[in-house]
Amino acid sequence: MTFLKKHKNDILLILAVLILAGGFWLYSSFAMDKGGEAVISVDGKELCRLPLGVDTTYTIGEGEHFNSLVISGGEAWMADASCPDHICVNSGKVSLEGQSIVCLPNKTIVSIVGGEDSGLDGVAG
Amino acid sequence: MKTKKLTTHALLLALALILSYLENLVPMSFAVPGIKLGLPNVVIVYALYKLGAKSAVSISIVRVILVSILFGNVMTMIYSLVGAALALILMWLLKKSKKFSPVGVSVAGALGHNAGQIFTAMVLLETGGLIYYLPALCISGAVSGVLIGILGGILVKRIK
Repeated sequence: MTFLKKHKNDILLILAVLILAGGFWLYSSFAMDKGGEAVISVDGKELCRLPLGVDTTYTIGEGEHFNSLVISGGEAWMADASCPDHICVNSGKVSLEGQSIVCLPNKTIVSIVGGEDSGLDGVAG
Repeated sequence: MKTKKLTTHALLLALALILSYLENLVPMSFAVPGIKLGLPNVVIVYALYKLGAKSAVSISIVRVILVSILFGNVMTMIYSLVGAALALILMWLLKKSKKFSPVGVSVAGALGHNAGQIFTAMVLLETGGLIYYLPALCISGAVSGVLIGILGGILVKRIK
């Protein structure tokens, strides 16, 4: 009991953080729709938009600083990058609206937005 | 006394630098991009309790600048400085309230680092979508914060 009493505020703080994070995570995973386009931006400026419905490989940048983005089966991921930490490559696949892959060293962001392409599935189905 | 103070600060700074280096050797980002153990925060928690807020701030800021020069770049320096500043403010407030043990203080520090870096990235890169990283970073921050806090607490008690 003394342990609980002594650390009451610590435990409350940790619980509050976990509940808030869990709640936000649940909310975002339910509220997010499947995205239609991958928006690529470098240094805060939009470079181009690629539809998720079309399988492709796109290399952002050239020479020493590059990120290689692959789109396949409605999902996008970084296959390779020049950055030392490879956090963007380890981020895995994104496909839901609002998700993004970030490469801080190259200032590159790939974010998924709704786009018109999401209507195609309905047409095809 | 002045020499002793200077030496203590230099020693702690060196220790924080070594811990930062060790942390860079062990990549933790396989699960969630960008997560870290926060080992150097042991030193900052210790400094906050044993030497006071001023010492903790100076050691933390100098550490961030040196680590960015050694292992990072200007961008990482900006992210880390904002993260470190937010962490220091939160830790100082929680310690000052006297309602938390080093564990709570350290958790607040870990969250401050994470939130500060995410918000800086959101502003600099103009991407709101980054907020989706926050829950994962909060959970990893809480876990590593508890571990670092327990370690820091033991050190505060044992080392005079």
